[in-house]
Amino acid sequence: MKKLLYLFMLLLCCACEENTSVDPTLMPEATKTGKNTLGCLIDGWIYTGGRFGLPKATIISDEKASYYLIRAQVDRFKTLEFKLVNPTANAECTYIDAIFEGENLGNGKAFITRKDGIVISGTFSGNKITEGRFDIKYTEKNTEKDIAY
Amino acid sequence: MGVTGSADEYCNNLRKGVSWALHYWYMGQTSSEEKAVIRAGFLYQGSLFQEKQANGSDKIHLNYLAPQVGVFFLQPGYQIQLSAGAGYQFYTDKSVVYDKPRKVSMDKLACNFALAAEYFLTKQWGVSARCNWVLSHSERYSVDYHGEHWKVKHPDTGEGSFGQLSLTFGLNYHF
Repeated sequence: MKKLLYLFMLLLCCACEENTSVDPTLMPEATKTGKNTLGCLIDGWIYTGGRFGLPKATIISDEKASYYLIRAQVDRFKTLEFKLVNPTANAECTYIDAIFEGENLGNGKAFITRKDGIVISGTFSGNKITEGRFDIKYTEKNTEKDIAY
Repeated sequence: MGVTGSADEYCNNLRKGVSWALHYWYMGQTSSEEKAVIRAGFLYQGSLFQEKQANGSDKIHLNYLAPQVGVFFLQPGYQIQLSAGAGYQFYTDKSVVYDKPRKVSMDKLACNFALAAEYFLTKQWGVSARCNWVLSHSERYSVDYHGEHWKVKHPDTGEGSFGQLSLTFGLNYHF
């Protein structure tokens, strides 16, 4: 029983590994060089990725469209995610299902500044979200097919 | 370090500020034959640096407290002083990011070196000019924002060495 408890505590520690060199109160610049950053304002307050793990981009395809799921842990227990619908470089697209702290923040618009199989970057805003920007390295292998959302 | 802007122009403008100081020296008894004396004293120095940009602003308050040791070169009508000390620097940056308040704190050990000259107007009163250099280093700071307290260590935006050079003019009274 004790061993199980230690294992559980070890897992907890691993799960909440924190990069203390990242200041989560400063907005990252809108870059397109694969810096693995994400930041936005939600109700005017800054939320950024990086302190509790790097933001991730995962490709989800179905018969209708290709979605890029952007997900970042922006606080110890808070995650922000949204899905870019058919993103194309140097073009505007919509994002759907923005979820923050379990609350659906709805849909919005994104402008993709780079998408080349190595890096996806852009800006996004809609409803409560403003000044959003992301710059994430990804691979086409990060693909999940036929996932129903 | 910990400021809201990283552009060179913003940081350069933020480096220019105003400072004020209060010195106390225990001079004891000095005979007219002595050309140089070593004395102890105390220094308080405050400084303010501020700058604004499109999405934020910084208002940095520095307060430095330190005991001092100085060598006074005495001349008829004036004196030259070299002094040094080590103490504590209290750093607070009351910044604003996207119209929301944010506070950075970074208290640390510091030292200072000063060169000063005083011209005596009367036996009690003198005017002085002082060049003071305060040095400190910090690899961490604390941030209060949106009800949360964060500690940032070895920030990826760069660590901070602080060299504060100030020129102050003052009026001195000799008890």
